Amino acid sequence: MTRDDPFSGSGIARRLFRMDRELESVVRDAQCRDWVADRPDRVGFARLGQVRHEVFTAARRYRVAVPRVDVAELLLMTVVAVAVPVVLARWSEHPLFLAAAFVAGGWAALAGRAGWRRLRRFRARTARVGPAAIDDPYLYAGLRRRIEACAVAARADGSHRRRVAATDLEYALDWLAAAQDELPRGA
Amino acid sequence: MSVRALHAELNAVRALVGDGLAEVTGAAGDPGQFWIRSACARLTALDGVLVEAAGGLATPVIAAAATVVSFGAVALSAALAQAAGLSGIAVLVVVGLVLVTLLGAASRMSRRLRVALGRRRLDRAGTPPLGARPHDASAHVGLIVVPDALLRARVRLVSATLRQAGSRHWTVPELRTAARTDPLRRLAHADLLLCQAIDCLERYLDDLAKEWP
Repeated sequence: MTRDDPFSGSGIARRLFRMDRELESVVRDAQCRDWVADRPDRVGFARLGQVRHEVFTAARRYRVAVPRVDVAELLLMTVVAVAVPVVLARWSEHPLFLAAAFVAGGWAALAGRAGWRRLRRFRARTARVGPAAIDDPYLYAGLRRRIEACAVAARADGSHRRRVAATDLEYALDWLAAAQDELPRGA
Repeated sequence: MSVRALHAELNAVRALVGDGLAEVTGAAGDPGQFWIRSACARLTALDGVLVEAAGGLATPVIAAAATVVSFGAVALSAALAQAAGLSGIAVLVVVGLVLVTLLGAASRMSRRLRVALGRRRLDRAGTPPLGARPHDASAHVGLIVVPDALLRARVRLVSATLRQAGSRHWTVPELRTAARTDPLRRLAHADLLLCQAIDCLERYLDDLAKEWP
């Protein structure tokens, strides 16, 4: 657990980034369950969305460009768009041929993206519906521990820009507690 | 769901949210109160998200434009680089730099284009009938309930989102997958903002009921 050591002071941005991704998937799952009335609750995911917003604000104070895009998809498209023209350019160096090679690379990247999305949709069609992640009490416990660790590290930081991130993380803890209040008890 | 119908539904949601926002700002006793201010900020941001949701370009259009532009740019820059005496890998590097610059410019312009396009499309699509205007309960006594317009806006927004997803894909995993890409991603974000605004108003009313200062 060295990567969660709260007193190292490094890698906070990476931890905030990871939390942002996790919260995004939990919020999306809860929202879709609310839409199809599988678990109708419009308050819980809204509050977790606030937590995510605050964590994102804190991450931005560390000057992290948190990409809002699908990283795997972007990586696939980049690799294809670079590889195709580099391979094709061995045959000829005529400018028009090079232009055609680069255009072919772009089309191949788009085709790769379409195939990737189709695969994801196919896997979703056959997937089983598990329990909702938002109902897991350990999610809240773990998030609270990690946000607190990040806030401790941010408060001890040398730069005042990053010390402000501690305030955002306090707000995130407030919203997290509010979201946990919405969980059905007992039942 | 046809594109035109989606735009009309989004217009209806915008009108309802505007009604709700007017009611909140008009009826709240203390407009600077924290929860009221948070709710108003979310409702204002929601309008921009809906405009952006309407402004997406179809993939074939993007692909055609990118093909034309990148063909011209690559042919021109490769010819220039070869005229300057470069060859082999160096030409490819020059071309790659030109393309990356173009991509950066395009991604910086895309947001502005999206907003302009979305506004134009929404202006052109009419507003469907909103039904009877709800009885304005809190005109004189201040904000006592969450405005009915906001709740109805949420119903319309969710039904528009689900119709956009298609009725054959109404399982949780499929919706989760669809919500990762536009336009459902933006519609989900708009729905999240609306729920947050309603939650903020509910907390405000809760505090009032407890006579919190």
